[in-house]
Amino acid sequence: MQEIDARGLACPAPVLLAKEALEKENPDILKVTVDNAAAKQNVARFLTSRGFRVSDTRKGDDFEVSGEKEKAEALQDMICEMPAADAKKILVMIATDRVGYGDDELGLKLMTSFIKTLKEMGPDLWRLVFVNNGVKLTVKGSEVLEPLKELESNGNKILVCGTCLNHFNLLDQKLVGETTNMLDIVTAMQLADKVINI
Amino acid sequence: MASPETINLVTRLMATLNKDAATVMKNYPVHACTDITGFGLLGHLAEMVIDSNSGIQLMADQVPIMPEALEYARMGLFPVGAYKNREFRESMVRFSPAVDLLVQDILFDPQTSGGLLMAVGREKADELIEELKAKGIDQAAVIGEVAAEPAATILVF
Repeated sequence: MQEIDARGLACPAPVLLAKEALEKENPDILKVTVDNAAAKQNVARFLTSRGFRVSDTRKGDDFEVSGEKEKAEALQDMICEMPAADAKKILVMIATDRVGYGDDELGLKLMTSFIKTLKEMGPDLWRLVFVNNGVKLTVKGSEVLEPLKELESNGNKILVCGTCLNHFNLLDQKLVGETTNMLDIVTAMQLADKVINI
Repeated sequence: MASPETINLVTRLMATLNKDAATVMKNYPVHACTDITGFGLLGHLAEMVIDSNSGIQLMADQVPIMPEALEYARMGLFPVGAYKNREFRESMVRFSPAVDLLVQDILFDPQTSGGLLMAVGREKADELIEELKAKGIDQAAVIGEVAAEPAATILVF
């Protein structure tokens, strides 16, 4: 293991010191102490680009960036731990009522088509989360109430952000899904095998 | 650390004055123009649309970026100013998830040499680029479009 004190040095000096250390000593673990957030990010990027697993800890006003060389066996373990292909839990997070930027009319049409097509994911589709403008898809007047109800009756849980409904004054207009909070959303994300953001 | 080709390219770009570009510009209905310096491309673009009724749609893959810049970015060779620029203006910028994080940071990077950013009507844009190129400004490119919505915002694709 090697340690470098790069406090008091301006970018890119901390990265250059780390580079020199790798080239000379080729350590498995390298710890670099820096005194500003930019140097912390730069050193982390550098170590990542050289195949290190990187973490950082705050030490008073300073940061210690720690990199550990990824071992071949470790990579192997990761591959083995990948979930079986037939047991996926896909969470779709919908934070808008239209798909993409550009033309709004097109975006709304695309969203309708997206929701209607989601069922093609079959049993892999697990939960839908609606936040911000996305909650408007779950209220009176939405064009996708029917396909959403169909997904719900097929066992897909639909979570709708309560704070968001409240913000838009739509709490009493919601016609599909259950009102939820951020803790539920974060927990669902953690349990999911894949999160798709729209 | 840099290759001789990159050193040559950088030296040439840094030594290129805006005089020729400015002369060409006078023959076109350019609505606005600024030089890109320490706030980075996105920082100066933000200045052009802040408090206005217009926004910008920027095509990241059309922005001329020196080939080795990406490699240096991956190595973490960013000046502190790049992070400060991002912090300062990121509330005005929305990136499509398709834009690589390294490219995002390069677009905020203060390491530029004062090239000109011009706003010109769509119908004249290609002609302007052709004439700039003919005058030896070979990196000239259309990098985006002014849009009415969302106002005072830069969307990066």
